[in-house]
This record gives sequence, C-alpha cells and structure tokens, in this order.
Amino acid sequence: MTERELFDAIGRLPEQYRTEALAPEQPRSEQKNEIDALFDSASHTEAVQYRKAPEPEKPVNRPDVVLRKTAPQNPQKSGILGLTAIAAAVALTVGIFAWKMRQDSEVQGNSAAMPGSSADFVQESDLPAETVTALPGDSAESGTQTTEQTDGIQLPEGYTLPEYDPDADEMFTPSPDRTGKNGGVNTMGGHGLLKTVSNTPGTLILEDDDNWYINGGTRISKTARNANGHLYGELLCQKPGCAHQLDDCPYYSHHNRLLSDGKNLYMTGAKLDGVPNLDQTLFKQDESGIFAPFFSPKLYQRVITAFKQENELTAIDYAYVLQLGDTDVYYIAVYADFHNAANNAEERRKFGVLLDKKSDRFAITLYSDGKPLYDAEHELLYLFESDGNYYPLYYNACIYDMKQIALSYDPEQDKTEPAEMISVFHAYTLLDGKLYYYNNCTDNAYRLLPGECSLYCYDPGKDRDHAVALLEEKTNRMDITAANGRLYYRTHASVGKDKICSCAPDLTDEQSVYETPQVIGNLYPIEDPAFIHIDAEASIFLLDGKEERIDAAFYD
Amino acid sequence: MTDAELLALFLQRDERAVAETQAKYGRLCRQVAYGILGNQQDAEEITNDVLMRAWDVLPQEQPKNLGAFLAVMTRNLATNRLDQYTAQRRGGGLRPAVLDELAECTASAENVEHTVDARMLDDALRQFLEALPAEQRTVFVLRYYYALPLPEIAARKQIGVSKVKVMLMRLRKKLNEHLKKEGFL
Repeated sequence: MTERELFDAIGRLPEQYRTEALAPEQPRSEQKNEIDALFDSASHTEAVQYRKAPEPEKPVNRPDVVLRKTAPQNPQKSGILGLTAIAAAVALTVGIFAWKMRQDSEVQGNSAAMPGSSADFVQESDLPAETVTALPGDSAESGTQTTEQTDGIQLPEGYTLPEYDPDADEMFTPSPDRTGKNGGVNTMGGHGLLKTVSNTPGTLILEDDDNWYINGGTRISKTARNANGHLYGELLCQKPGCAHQLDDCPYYSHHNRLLSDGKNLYMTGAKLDGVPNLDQTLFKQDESGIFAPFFSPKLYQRVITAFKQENELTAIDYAYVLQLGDTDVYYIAVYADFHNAANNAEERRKFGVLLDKKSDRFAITLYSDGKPLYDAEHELLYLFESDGNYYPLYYNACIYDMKQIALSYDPEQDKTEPAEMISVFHAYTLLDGKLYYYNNCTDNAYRLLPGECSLYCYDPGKDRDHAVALLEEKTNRMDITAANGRLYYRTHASVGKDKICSCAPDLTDEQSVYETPQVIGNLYPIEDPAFIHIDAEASIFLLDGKEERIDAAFYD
Repeated sequence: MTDAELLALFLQRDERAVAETQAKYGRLCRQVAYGILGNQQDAEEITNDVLMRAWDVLPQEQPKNLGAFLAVMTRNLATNRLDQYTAQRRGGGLRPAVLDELAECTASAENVEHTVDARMLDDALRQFLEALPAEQRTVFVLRYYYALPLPEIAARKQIGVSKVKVMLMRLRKKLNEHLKKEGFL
C-alpha cells in the first residue's frame, strides 16, 4: 500500500469525522471581547477592585486602566499543554492510593452552580478563611471545616479516597523518597528535593540529587553512563506492560500536571475516584512538601460569574502560575470549558487572574500565551501574546494598581505573505532588569524565514512610561536565554548551520558556544553554564560547559 | 457573522456572501490548499474556486457546518490539482508534507506492495479512528484530512505544537501497527 492510497482513503472519511474535527469553536475574537468587556463595561468593572488597598467595602471603578483595544485574540500556540509537562504528579496521585485513607463522611455532590454574584466576586476576603479552600458542594457556611492531610496532598473536608488495592496489577507506585531535606516527598522517584530547572512553553525540567526530569516523561541520570561514557535517559514510567501511549501511560496522561514558576510547584488536573471536581483545584506545594489547595473553585467560580456565563462548567485548566517575586501576588492563567446545552457544544474561555493571596482578592487580566515573566526590580509583569503583533505589559505587582503598555511593534516590517508565514515564535528573557525578545517567522516547513527576525530590548529603567523597542536588527536568531550575566541564543542560518552563541548584554563580544549539523530546538539553561536543547525531532541534548554534546535521549 | 447568516446571504443571492465567507473561512481554505499543494498561488486560486463553487451550490445545499463543507471542497479541489500536476509532471516533484508523514504509516518491513481493497481500507481506517479518543481523532483528521499545519492544529485544539507533534508521531505508529494487523502491510 502506498501513502497516496492511504491519503485517498482518509479523503473518503465519513462526514462525521470531518465535521467533528472542524466543529465550530467560539471565535477567538469573541473570547477577547468578553475579557475586554470586563474592563470596558461599567456593569462589569464595578465588580473589579483595582486601586484600593484591601478593604472589604464596595468595589470601585478603575477608570485609568489602559484597555486592550487592538490586538486580535491570537491562537494559543504553545502555551497550555505545551508547558504541560505532564505528569509527575500522576505518581503523586497514584501514590496517594498507597497511603491508606480513612473513609469518612460522604462525598458532597458536584455543584455546577456558581455561587455569588458578579458584584462580589472579588470579595473572597469577606468569607471565612477556611471557605477559600472549599470545593464546590462544600457547605461553606458550616465553619467547621477540617482538612484531610496525607503525606503528599491535602484534601478538603468531606472527601474520601477509595481503598487501595495492593493486588491490582495496574497499580503503579512510585516509591516516593522521604529523605528530602524538608521531609517532603520526591514524587519522581529520585532522592532529594525536586527543583525546577526550566519552565518554558513545552518544557518543564525538574531535577533532584540523582536525575533531570524532562516533561515528566524522561529521566536522565546525572551519574549513570553508558558504554561511551555518556549520560543516558530512560522513560520514567515503570508500569508493567505500559505502551506509553497518551491515554494509558501515567506520564502521558492529560491529568495531574505539574506547573512551576521557577520557585514553587503547583499541581493541576488531579483526579481521584470518588472526589468530584478535584481536577478543578489548583494545588501548591508548601514547605513540607504537601500539595494544598491554592486556587479554589470557590474563587474561580466567582471569576466566571463575572463573565455572565450561565453554561455548565465542565473543566478548568491552568496554564501558568507565577508568583510575583516575594510578594503575595500570583498571576494565574486559566482556561475554563463550558458546555452549551443550547447547541450541544463546548466553549472555552481563557483569562488571567492576578490573585493577592494575602487578602484573597483578585482581578481579571489578560491571558498570556507565553510564559509570564516578572521583573522584581521594576515590579513589572510581562505578559506575552504570540501573534507577533502585540506585546502587552502590565506593571506594578500590586493588583490594585496595574497599567498596560504595548511594546511597539511595526507590522509593516513584516514582509512575509500571510499564507507563507505559518507561525511566529517568540523568545524572551530578562537580564539586568532589561527585557530582550525576538519575534521569528517560519514557513510551512517551520523553516525560519530569512531576515524576518528582529531583536528588541526594552529597558524599563530608562523609559518606563513609553515602552519602545530600543534595539532592532535583522538576524537569523531564534530563542534567547540569560545565564551568567550573558545572553545565549541560537542562530539558524541554513540547514546544517545551527549554532548556539553568547554575547554580552550590549550584544558585543559574541562567542560561538556550540555548533551542530542538526536543527537546534529550544534552548534552556540547566546549570551554569550547561544547556539543554531540544531539536525538531523531540530529541533532547545536554550540553556541558565545555561546549560538547554529552548525551541524547528520546521521548520514545 | 454566523454560518446561518452566511447561508441566508447565499440563499438570497447577496454578493456579500462571498466576501463574508472569504473573511471567515478564507484562511482555513488557504491553509488546507497550501497543505496539499505547498504553493501560495495555487492555494489562493483554489480558495477562489471554492468560493465560486460555494456561490453555485449553497442555495441548494444546507450544510450543518459551513467551515467543514468548504474545507472538504478545498481538499477535493486541491487533491485534483495535485493529480493534474503529477500527471503533467509539473510542480517540481510536488509532494505534500502529509504524504511524507503518511509514508511512516505504510512502511512495511516486507517491502512488498499489497494490492489494497479500497473499501476494506476505508473500514480499517474507520475502525482505527473509532477507537481513538476524540482529541486524538480530531488532531489526526485535521492533519491528514485537512492537511492543516501543526501550529494551526495546536491553536484549534488549545494545546502545544510539541504535543501535537508527539501525538501525531504516536498516531502514525499506531496506525502502522493497525494496518499491519489488518493485513494491509
């Protein structure tokens, strides 16, 4: 059989499959408008408190917020599950089964209702503190809430875990290590504390004393070497007979994802039998290693109420969580799926939330397609979109005083024909309080289009109120990261001429770090001055400080 | 403008129907055509042809999903043109990228080309798709039926490009195994 015969057979697929694939989704512009409407509409803005310090009094309008007016809602390119390094938390969750739980009170039912009105949706601080961690269906008024705490996860009151069946063949127990310095649990099976090495769209790299963990699926030993002396990688999943497919392998599960902001670990998408809506809660790992509820359904339901959303909430997902420096403010990028009974269709809303954990007040802001960055020195939160036209920027870590600035970008500079330009990649990094970023255009084969890459530098210390691109040049650079006081980036002059270079912050003193005939993918610093890059075939390469390739490992 | 409003314009023979359809679905059609023909000019021409045909047939047809209706039409026209180019040896050895990817599905260690019964192959393919979770199935169809680029699929499915790539790689492998099991390879 030839591939053309197969292609033709696919061309004869029944209508149901063709229609299903292109099932109408809510136009992104409408999503944008709904978010913008929160700022535009007086009836909505009254629900958002911005300027005042935490006070439970009536909300006030925020007339000086700079509204987003022009940017189209762009495709969410690599954000959500790109970042979704999957899985480690599956081990955690399954491990919980091993920790036998008492079976107590009956599970409360799923509450699809959305308590509260838009007028008070930021008034969570008015509620008793304990209700913040309640799940839908909890009796928030009871005031007698206690929590179920196991070695690895803290569950709200009233939830019961099923009995662990030690004889179940399919049970996968990760043998959690308890030797971590904080007494917590290393859910990846290694020793020592789990630390985040890289958290960028598409790649979450963790490490402990023994290994690096790539996207929850591959483990690269720091010490074990193969016959050639190279470090080697292996699949994390040890489940007997597992085919490591997306749906049946714990490390490729869509659920139980870990998120990291470089400092804290968060877990989302947790699923346990008998615990309704657990997957809608965002957990945060505390100092003892416990994952405790952090962003509760109670909170987000009040956010959703602000959308006047009356459809049934079916799923909630979190793309990014970022603590803003040492403050109590967090940026949370949220997806919410609804079932529209009228047309039997799923609809998705996405939005960002700035949450002040101290007061449990929050404000809705723009969703960031790329990883958000925070510059503590200038109290700037950078939120990126990926359509190549727009770089929104909020400043001030305080949710009560935020303002948006669009960094300048001239679309006229983009000479690429729309049908030819398939995607735009962004790379950005912070170094010495300055933001460096590129925008790269590729063609249908994901080849960087020559001369269509621009480098910008934004120095908020110089020009805080007028965001401008200070530097611009046409180059074939892709990706950029900062380490050891220098900028590192990769260039793609042509096939077979990829290399990683470094330069001083003022772009002088360029040095070649690594060259390869292969296409270099994403570039991440793992430990000074070593890097991980992932090539176009999803192979992972570690580069040590001696500019040598020391290993390759594969997802499969 | 909603599909219902567009269809109403077609029904009323209002010429705004073409412009509005172009605005709403032109990009999708261009992407489908470009994915198969790999040429921007061809993609534009096919898209224009699709809109012309839509103008002709839509008063009679009442598709449930206008986007899918136009995309299917685009695929058929693009595939026809691909065949013309192949027959005329034009296009500089034109070959859609999706064919290269599908070659992984048809790879066989025996290196023997089987004669394929199209109906049996259709059944096997349906069986394969039926067993897939909805997300994987739609990603497969978006890539190999509509030939959409990976970033577009990622955007539609609200997942990362890397995940789409890994998912497709696994699906090709799975389809290859399925076709072997069914005796096609």
